[in-house]
Formats: sequence, structure tokens, C-alpha cells
Amino acid sequence: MFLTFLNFASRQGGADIQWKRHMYKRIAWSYYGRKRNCFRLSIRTIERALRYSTNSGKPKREYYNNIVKIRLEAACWEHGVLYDEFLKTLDESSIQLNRTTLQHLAIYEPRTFQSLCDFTVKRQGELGLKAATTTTPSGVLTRGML
Amino acid sequence: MAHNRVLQWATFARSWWIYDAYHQCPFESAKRLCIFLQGQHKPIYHPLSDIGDHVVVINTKDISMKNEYWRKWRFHHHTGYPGGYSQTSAWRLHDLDDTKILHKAVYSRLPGNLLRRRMMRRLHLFPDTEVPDDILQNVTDQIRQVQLIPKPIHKYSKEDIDNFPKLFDWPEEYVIDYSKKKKDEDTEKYF
Repeated sequence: MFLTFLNFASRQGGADIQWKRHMYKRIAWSYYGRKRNCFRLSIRTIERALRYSTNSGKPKREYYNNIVKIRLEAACWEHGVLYDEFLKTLDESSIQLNRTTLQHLAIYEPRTFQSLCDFTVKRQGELGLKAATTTTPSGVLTRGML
Repeated sequence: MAHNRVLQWATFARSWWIYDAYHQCPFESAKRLCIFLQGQHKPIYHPLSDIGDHVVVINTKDISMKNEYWRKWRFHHHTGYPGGYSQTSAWRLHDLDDTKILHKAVYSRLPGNLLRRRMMRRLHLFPDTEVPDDILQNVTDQIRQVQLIPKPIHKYSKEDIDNFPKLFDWPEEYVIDYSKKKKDEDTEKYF
């Protein structure tokens, strides 16, 4: 069977195939060993890496959102405000700050964040929700007891 | 603004908290203590950074457990060798060491990374209110208890009990406390 022509064609490739390979090589430039230079080896690693990066998008987002949530809960707790009530009040008052921005305010501009918390408490007081958000302290310990 | 540079020092300072475990559930308490040990109460929290606080827990010998947990909750241990498995009920472990149940509850609650042992070292457990002065003098604030301490019936005065509003009186034959049941002579005959 005459296969030389087919072999020749597949090895040479066209301009399009060369560009496609170039695309993969751009990803593989930082790899170690032969998988950096040999296309058939590098394509295995690259495809796995792309699969990982696609699948890890959602967990990564959840992970960072969870950290932001914990930070904001802590920042609200420092000023005696509940996290859910805080976001709801800001939303209803059309103060359009997202959670990432609020988190940055809590870390780098604590006084600004405090003013937002004060606003929340005042707004809830106007609506008559203050009593619903505050809880009576229980189990409070003083130095005299020890 | 000469001192602006040092304003952030308090943000990264490690503060000390006190928690009274008197009549508190150890597992619910562990949830709250872990927040302070990990630093989740600070806006600068990150799971990889070591920003947890010290927590001093007093009265660990007076923790409470719900339902039948003192009898039925079991703590497991395996030495790693064949046949090295053992389990202990909660009351027995509490007999051996007053602070062990809370220690284990917090330890199992913390994330299983390399910071766990370091966080556990910042948890100071004391069976009663006798805390060494060098530890107590660092304490700046307290952690609120997780549950209300119920007031037992014998703590109420006679007046309070009599004045408590009630719809009806129980009939005399109705047995509330079995130990105070009057002995019926007619039934006693047959035994």
C-alpha cells in the first residue's frame, strides 16, 4: 500500500496546523523536561492543565466568596450589626457597593466601614427594626466574679 | 501624622479572650471558640495566615451535655497497631480529665492543616476558675456563652412557685414524683 504521501502530509502539516501547535507551545513554555519541547508529550500535560483550570473555576469562586463572607461577618460583628441585615439595608437604600468593595473598605478604611454600619443601625431604627436586630446579652462575666 | 505608621499594629495584635464553659454544650462552644482561634472574627482573616487569638476557657468541669450524651457519646482512639482500637464514653473521659472533652471537641472542629496544632496551643483550658495570674492579666475581653443557663426548680423561692400562674391543680392521686408516692395499703398486701 502506498502510504508515503499520507505520512508526508501528516508530518508536514499545513500553516493552520503549525499555528495551532504554536498556540499550545505558548502554554508549554514554562514546563520542565521533554514535555516542554516535544509536541506529543506536551499536549498531554496541556490538555490536563486546561481541564483542571476549567473545572476549578467554580470551586475557586466559592472559596474566595466564602473568605469575603467571613471577613464581612467579622467586620459587621465588630460594630454590632448582622451581616444579612447589613447587606439588605445597603441594598434597600441603594448604596451600590458590592461585597468585594465592602471587604476592602473593612480592611483598609475601617472608619468608612464603621460609618456604613452606623448608617445601617440608624436606618433600622427608623424602620423600627432595631429591636429585632439586637439581642439581649446573656452570660456576661465581670472581673469581680473571678 | 507622625504615628500613622503604628495605627495598624493593633490590627495585627494577638488579643486574649475568656470564655466561661459553665453549663455549656462543648460541641456548640467549640464552634464559637474555633472562630476566635482561627481569627475569623477579624476583617483581615485568611485561612493561611496565622492571626488567631488566645482563648482562656474556665469551668470546663461544669460543661453540660444534652439527652443521654454523657453515657452514649463515645470518643474513639486508635494506636495504629493491630488491635489498637479503643473507645471511651464521655462521662469516663470527663472523669479522667476535666478538660479533655472540650479539647477534643475544639481539635476536631478546627481545619486539619498545619496550623491546627499551633491554634490548639493558644487554647488554655482550666477545670475551674483558678487561672494563673500571668495568663489572666492578658485577658482583655470575653466571649459570650452559647446557651442560656437554665435556672433549676430548687433555686426558685416558695413564693415564686406559689405565685406562678396555673390553670388547675393536679389531683392528689396524680403521681408526679414517684419517690414521694404514698403507699397504698390495699395493694401492699399482695406483695
